[in-house]
Amino acid sequence: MKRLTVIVGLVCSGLVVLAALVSLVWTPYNPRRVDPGHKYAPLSWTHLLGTDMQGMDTLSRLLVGAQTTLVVGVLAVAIAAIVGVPLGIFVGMGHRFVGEVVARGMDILFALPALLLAILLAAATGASVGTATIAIGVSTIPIFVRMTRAATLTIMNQDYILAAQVSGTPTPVIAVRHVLPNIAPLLGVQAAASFSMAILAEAGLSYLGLSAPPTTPTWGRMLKDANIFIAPTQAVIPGIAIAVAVLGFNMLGDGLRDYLDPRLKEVR
Amino acid sequence: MRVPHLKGIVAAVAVVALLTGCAAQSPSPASAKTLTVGLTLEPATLDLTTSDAASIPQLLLYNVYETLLKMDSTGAIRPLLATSYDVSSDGLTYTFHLDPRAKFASGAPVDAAAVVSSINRMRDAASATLQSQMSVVQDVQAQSDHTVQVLLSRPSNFWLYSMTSTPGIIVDPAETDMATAPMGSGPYMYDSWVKGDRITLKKNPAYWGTPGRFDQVVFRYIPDPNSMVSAMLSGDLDIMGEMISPDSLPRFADTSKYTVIKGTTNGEVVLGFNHARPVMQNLLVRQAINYAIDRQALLDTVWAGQGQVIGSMVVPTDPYYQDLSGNYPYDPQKAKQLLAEAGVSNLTLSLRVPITPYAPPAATFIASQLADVGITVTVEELDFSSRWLPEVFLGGDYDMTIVDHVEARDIVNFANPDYYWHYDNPQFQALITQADEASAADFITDMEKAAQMLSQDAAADWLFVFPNLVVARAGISGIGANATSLSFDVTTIAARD
Amino acid sequence: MPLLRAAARRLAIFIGTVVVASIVIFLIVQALPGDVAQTTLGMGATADAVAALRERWGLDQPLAVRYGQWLVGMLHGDFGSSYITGASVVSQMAPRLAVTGWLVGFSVPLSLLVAWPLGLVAAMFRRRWPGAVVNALSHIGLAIPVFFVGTVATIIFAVNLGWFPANGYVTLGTSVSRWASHLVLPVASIVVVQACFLARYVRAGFIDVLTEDYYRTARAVGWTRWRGLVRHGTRNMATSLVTVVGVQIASLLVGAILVEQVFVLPGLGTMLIQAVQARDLVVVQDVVMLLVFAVLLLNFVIDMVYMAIDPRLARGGRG
Repeated sequence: MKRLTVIVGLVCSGLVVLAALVSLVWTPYNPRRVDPGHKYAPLSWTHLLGTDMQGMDTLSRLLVGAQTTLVVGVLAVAIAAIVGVPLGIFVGMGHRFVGEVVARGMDILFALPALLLAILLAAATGASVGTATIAIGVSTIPIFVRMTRAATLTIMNQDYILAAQVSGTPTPVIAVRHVLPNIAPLLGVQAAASFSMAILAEAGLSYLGLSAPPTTPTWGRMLKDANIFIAPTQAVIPGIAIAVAVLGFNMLGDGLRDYLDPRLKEVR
Repeated sequence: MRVPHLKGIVAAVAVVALLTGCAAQSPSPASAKTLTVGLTLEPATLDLTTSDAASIPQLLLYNVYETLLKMDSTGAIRPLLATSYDVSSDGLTYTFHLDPRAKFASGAPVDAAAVVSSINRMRDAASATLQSQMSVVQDVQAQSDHTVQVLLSRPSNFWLYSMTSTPGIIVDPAETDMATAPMGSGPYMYDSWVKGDRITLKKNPAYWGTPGRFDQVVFRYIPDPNSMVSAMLSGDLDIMGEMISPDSLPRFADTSKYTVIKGTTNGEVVLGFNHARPVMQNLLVRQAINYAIDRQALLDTVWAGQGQVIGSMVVPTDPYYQDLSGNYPYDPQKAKQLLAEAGVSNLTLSLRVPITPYAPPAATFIASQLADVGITVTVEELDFSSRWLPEVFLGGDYDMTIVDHVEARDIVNFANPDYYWHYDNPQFQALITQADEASAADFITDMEKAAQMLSQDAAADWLFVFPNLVVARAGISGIGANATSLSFDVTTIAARD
Repeated sequence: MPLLRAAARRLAIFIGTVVVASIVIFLIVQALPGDVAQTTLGMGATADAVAALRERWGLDQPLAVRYGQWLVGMLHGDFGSSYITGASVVSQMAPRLAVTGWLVGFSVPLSLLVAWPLGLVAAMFRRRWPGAVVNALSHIGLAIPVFFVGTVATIIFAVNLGWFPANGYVTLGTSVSRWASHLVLPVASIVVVQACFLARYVRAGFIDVLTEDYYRTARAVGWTRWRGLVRHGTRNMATSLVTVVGVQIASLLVGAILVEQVFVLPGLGTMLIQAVQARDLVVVQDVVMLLVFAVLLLNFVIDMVYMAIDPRLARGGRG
């Protein structure tokens, strides 16, 4: 079971990465070129996944769309981790008052979910993949802070930390040398889970028109623009792509966690 | 509305389980005759003196507010509150004879005093469009109880025409809150507004003319094309007032269930150029863009071939229409050649379009075809009121944009160099002024010349005439084929059952 | 009474957080470019007309004054008036809140009701096929965007079968049965996704129980696995589920926007999007503040519940 989770996770997320890589060097058609004569072409050997309302090749757009999916996921998680992890470690190791202030700040941020931030950001600067990514990333910060803080607290009583503190090692050095490596596996699990949530969130924002412009092939946009009555496959295909990506990274995270959680091992 | 068994059961379970004792069922709405119409854009306010949004007259014009004269579905001017009018030989004095039967829903008569106060209300409106449309009015006076005289500062063919639309509506003098409680003399009265969902009109029981056929008319606002089609297919709507995904028309092909009404509107879908940008001042570049876009293919792709390619800022229902669509046939080679002649290479243009059902897909199409002739286009979608208006329309921050110009006879906007296209052609401006003040026959020839001038100058790229596409369930009749006014006119609509 | 003191301290922090949040929200919203007078006037806007309308709506006042008015107003239950229509925001917000309230109010208990047995089965048979099936289903359910679920549900149950209306809303006062029938598909769409989400927590909670001493003891004295799990597991989970359900309500209050859009429901989300588009900033401010306040309050209440359950937490609090 555990192995199966990891395998499914690897296969699904691997497919997404593979699609993105392939699209860098090759797509069957130009994903941005309209073909007026071939509107809503059915699935066939010339167009494996058919075409959309503009006659654009769906497979080509799907492959290129994988790039956006990955970039949004990576950047959103990076924003959350780069801000959240140091803050979490700092609070976990540090002063109670600072901890309280950060915790309340995170409460406020937590109350501003990605959707709300994206609506406000799009209103301020216009909607783009960038604003969507920032909104998702920033709204993920509190999760990283809380998780990092909790993980840091559990290892602060460990002998090696206490020894380092007694020997006068400066706090930042302890954080980088001892704390970070020990919580890194947990961060990896969190990153995978947040990654899949980011992909799902981007699809939602695309649906509301808060992400990519119409010329940029993204999965959420393809799903939004599909005519579900005339060419339902054009909605189902990006829908499946999103589900595969989310499922893949989620299961990857789950599988990793199962390997890392000693308590679960015990019962098996 | 029919309630199938399962729905009833689920509803009952839900109610019993979670709302015990909270049953406040009102009398069945089935006894009242209701017409439900699906539209796309919900107005933010109903006050048409502060807002230009076309969604307000779409709802209120002719249905709630009446005008002195009315534009019928063929584009002809007909009497409404005024039974007739006289024009003085110098074209400066208009005398309107009011229908003595006419009265407001409040019971007050539509007399000369009410008309004078309403015209003055429009002249003092905050909306600059209304102000400019009414700017030729020098004075308005009551001659008798049922006669009103309007004095113009110069003759104007456009002014009389505008009196059939928003500037000409007659508001009840007792009106104090146009934003939330409009009061007019139409066959329907404003009833209620569930923001974000629907606006309900009810029958004016004391209407002075032929009364409305429905006890209430519900306008539901559904911006998403798929949701609109779902609502029509599931029987929630009697009329889909705007077919915003014409690709889905085959779903309504069953004539035993649906009637599809196809007509035309006053809307020209314009690929507008910003003439304030140096590159756009180059005639060769503008012509190259016109040659580079296959408008018939664009229409087939983006709007399922519904509508018509035109070639200038004139729609087929205008009396001065002529087919100019062949002036720039699709010819990418010629486009490349013109660009080379203009000495332009590696051209990058912004195409900033409002979020509407037609503009983003048209932009995608245009970006692709212009890429074929070597022009890089960056497409950006902007929310219409909060970003497109301030940035593109007022701020002039764009190279190209796409908008459906819905107002009738809006070719005059090209004569205004301050308008957002910044098209400044003194010859054209002179021609328009001449036409406005001309006799009926000269008016037509002058306007034809004006339209040709615009086309030769490639002042814009006119993509197509926006079609009027309405789907009604079988049994609904009286829907006008052409939307010649801004109104979604329900006054003539009836249901067989 | 250290517990009471701790509670008072929490309350003070809560109020402070709300005030800080209100300042942050006010500044963000005021910083939005665009102008309500301009967007209302539309294509006929001129500089003079815009200035006149701004003055009429009191938009020419300084920032601090407007913040002060807003804050003081809210304390008196007056959330201001929409610039565009002049109607009070409270009167506009109440019906919207009701719609979102019904959505969340039905979805949360229903998804718990579905998730609990699913999670139990998944934990009980976690190494046999029922567990695997439930697990796989919950993974897949979580991976499908809720608006896609809603769209497909519309096509099947409204367009093809005609059992329910495709979209729109009817108030409870108009007709109870029509009100309910309009809510079935939106609620079901949320429940499908949320139940998958909760089922995983329920499963993890039950699996935790399997490793606990009291469960082993119960088993040793002859309790069946079911009885042990259901008795101990449910109690064990109640505490951790409080947090999860809290988070779920919080995320649904805003996340409902997607479902509101699919089903054209006039909820808070639709109101927010419309107000942002019209730049009716008083309304934007109020809706965002209401949503943030609801989440902060939820957090505070959860803290209090925890403190009541486990007084040791009074000292440190949750992370």
